[in-house]
Amino acid sequence: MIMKILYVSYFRTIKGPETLVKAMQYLKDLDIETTMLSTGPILDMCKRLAKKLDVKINFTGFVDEKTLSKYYSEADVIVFPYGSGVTLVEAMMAGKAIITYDRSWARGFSTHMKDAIIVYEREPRAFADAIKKLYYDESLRKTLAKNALEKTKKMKWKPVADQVGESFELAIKRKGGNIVK
Amino acid sequence: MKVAIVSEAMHKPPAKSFYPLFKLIEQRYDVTYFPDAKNIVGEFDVIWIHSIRKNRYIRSKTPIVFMPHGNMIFNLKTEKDFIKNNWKILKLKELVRRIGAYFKYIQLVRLEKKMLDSADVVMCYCQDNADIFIKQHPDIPKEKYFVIGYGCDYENFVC
Repeated sequence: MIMKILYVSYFRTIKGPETLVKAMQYLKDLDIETTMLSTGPILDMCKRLAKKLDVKINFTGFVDEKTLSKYYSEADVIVFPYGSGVTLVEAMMAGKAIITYDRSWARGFSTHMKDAIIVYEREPRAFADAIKKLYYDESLRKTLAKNALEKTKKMKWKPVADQVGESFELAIKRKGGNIVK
Repeated sequence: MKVAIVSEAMHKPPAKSFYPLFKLIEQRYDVTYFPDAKNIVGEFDVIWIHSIRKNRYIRSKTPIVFMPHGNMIFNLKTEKDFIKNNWKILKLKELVRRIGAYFKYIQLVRLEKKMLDSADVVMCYCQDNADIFIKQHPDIPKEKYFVIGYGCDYENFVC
């Protein structure tokens, strides 16, 4: 059965898309379909790299929200080569298995082997190993996805807004001001 | 309470996923958005600066909440590693751009540090994020960091 991998981030160096492209060279013998969404300054370089390494990747360029939702729903695994904040939570909401680099955001929102696979080295080989793990273990894939979705259901914006308000008040107090409600 | 938010564009929250949070903040406070910290017009009770850019450094008598929303030291290192590992694949024009980005990050690392110094509160979405800044900048008091958490918006996320 084909496993569909998705990359959903801007093509910037800090997002590490080339790491996923390089990882795919170690997975040529597996039935994997990789799609990389969005655009950015290193998109062309990633396309050239994929050609050079002879790996098949579907580079879509910019997609609208409707198309993005379609890709999210069809994906089996979503990969964040250097970790990503907002999109990581979106991927969790989509109820998909996640592979992410060990950045602060990832650690803050994901637990290794419970609701994501956290990769501790920024190395293509390490990402390839994580992808391989999920390829051969469909039940792990489902468990990670289910747990990620459950976790996001508990994440509400209202208490976050309360905290933002508290931070405003704290800043005012520190400057010696009075709080105006 | 009058709140000035320094963000990507005037009247626009920083990223779509944050809209629900900003909507809640707009309901609770008198909010005005500014793209540039140095051109804030009017009196405010607090200034909330979202991520660091060239135009987002400010020292002010008004209380400042700064959300780094990223980590420029990490970004600088990533850019350096990228150039080191991929220079052979890059076209000359791309390489020049990446080197330019590397120097931009050097500048942003300095700006971020200055902003961490001048802010009254440094806001982070999670404790791990705060811990990284604490480790990188041991001279900044730990008490300055304030973790707000993160929410999800199911209503606007359909897939």
